[in-house]
Amino acid sequence: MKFQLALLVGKLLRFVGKYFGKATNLPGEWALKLCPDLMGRFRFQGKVIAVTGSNGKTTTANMLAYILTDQGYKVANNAKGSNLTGGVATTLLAASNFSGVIDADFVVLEVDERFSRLIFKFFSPDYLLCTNLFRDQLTRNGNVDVIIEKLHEAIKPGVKLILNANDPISGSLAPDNPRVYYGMARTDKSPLDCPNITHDAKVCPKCFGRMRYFYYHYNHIGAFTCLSCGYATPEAKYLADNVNFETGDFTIGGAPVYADYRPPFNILNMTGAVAACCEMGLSLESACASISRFRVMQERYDEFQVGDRTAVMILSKNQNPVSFDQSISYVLDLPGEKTVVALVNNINHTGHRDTTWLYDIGWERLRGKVDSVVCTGPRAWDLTVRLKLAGFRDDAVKVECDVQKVKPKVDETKGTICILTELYDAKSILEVIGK
Amino acid sequence: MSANILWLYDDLLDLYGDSGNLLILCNRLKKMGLEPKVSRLSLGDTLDFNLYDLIYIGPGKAKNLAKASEHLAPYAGRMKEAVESGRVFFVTGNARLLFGKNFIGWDGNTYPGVGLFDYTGRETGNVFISDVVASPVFAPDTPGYGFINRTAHIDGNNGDWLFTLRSGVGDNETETEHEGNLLHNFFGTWQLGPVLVKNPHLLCEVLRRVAGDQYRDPDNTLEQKALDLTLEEFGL
Repeated sequence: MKFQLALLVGKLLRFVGKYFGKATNLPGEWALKLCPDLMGRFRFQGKVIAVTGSNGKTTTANMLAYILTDQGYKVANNAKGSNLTGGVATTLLAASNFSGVIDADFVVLEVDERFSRLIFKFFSPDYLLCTNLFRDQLTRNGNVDVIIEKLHEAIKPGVKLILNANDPISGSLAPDNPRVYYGMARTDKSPLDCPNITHDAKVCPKCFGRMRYFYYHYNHIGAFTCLSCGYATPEAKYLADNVNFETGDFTIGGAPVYADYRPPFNILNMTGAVAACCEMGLSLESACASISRFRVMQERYDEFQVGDRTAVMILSKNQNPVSFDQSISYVLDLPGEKTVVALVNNINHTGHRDTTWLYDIGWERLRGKVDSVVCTGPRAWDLTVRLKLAGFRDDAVKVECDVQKVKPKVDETKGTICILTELYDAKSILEVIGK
Repeated sequence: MSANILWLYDDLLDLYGDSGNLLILCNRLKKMGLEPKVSRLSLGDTLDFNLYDLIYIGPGKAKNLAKASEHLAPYAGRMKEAVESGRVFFVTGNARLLFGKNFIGWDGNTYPGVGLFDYTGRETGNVFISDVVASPVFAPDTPGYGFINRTAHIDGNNGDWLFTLRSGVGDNETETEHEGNLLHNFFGTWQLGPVLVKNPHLLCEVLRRVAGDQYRDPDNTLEQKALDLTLEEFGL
């Protein structure tokens, strides 16, 4: 009775909420108040897969849903990244009928790693894909070990794990669970030395021994072995190979794949999505054909015209140095002259003034490679200090704390305008410089 | 002339932003005509503190800190001798737990400290964050800004403080007057990340003690400007 009431109220709130922009989290939150074990009462007729990890979970979950839908299956998913408890509950109640039956062939749930143990308290996915684990929003998440503990509480015995063979940290999750690995072979962009400051697996996550890396894709993602216990890159059943970053072509198990968005992390995300689909019963060829048709959302990466200049928005998450490092790699790969615009805010949600994370980003890689970096936002001068310590020339750093006044500073610069910041901040910058 | 710096447990205790301290130290030492040489040692390595002008230890994950404690334990006597003989130490975040009597670690076990101070530590498992505005005891009118992000407390730190607090918390969540330790040339603080970038007066004092006669007042104009803008938001 309690469940039916929660379901009814949730569905009603979702219907009404659509008109007020409150339909992705709130209905689930209220339904959970009425029936705390709501998520354990749904009856799934298909398979449930969860996607988590520090970076790339939204995109990878969307890729998974896209492949499955493209192959003609009925899919329920939280496409809008509503990955906390309320968002997942809303997704499930929206997909269910009034008896609590979810008749989708596949339920694809993007799950916040910090909330995973709460979301999976009363039910469990059949599969869990973990993209990677990095230091990420340490003010909210704590360190990687804290996240691993929460994931271990969430992962029930029997859940099949789909793990990134190139990540020594997430690759060693829940060692007693069945698992399959995906990965990427060495490419012409895989250096022998770590190109980044942030490296979260300098010591072995299993025994604290020294690690040896044969190459890196980025940060601590690469091919590795522990010199003490022998923990080494697991064999990848699904391996991205023959990657051509110029054309976007690569193969998985010999099947051709095309990528429209080509950073190494995205090739890995695509391979993870294909691996998950194959484990759930799709053929490799059909999964590869579908993922080749997938287009990365414009909310993650987009191009605009600002007068006679091109502006490129590259989503870069605050307090997530790996996200910024990958955005910097993307900037470096762009042809021609370019300028970076970075907005540094106080800590999201809490307002703390901490800018510690700026020191984990390899800004040094941009030195001499871009015309200028324009620093804006409340902590713009802190970024300026960071850039000066990275060795930037005085005339290569422009500062304007007030984003509403940043246009004259941007107008002093040359080349493609690369906006590295959170989605909502990028929009405000574009509005100002587009005037 | 060179300045020898040891980043102890650089691979193990590297929570976030810690390399910023070495970045600014090396930058300023070079401007004083000293060539900084940074060595990195960790588990399994033999330690000789007398080889270095500055020993830096940053914060780390709870399990990693426990490993560091086990490795450091046989060096407790030599560590204390090094501090008492005036060797410069700069220790941030939960690495301070290594310098008390002992601490209760992530697994409930008690891990040894080197016993430089009488305090004890305990891992709570709960993330606690706080802005901190504090003045070093040697420059009481010059506040700096710092950030605390920790899952541990320190209890019983009864003196030789490094900072007087103006805002935020200190060694545990109820301590709001003092924070950290300054003993001989040992600087220890709960603040983490690029502490020296955000505290120009602390930076100068550490540099003064490392560089000795070679010390020259560095140009911290830019760092001070960024700090002043932060402090304005605290009404200072």
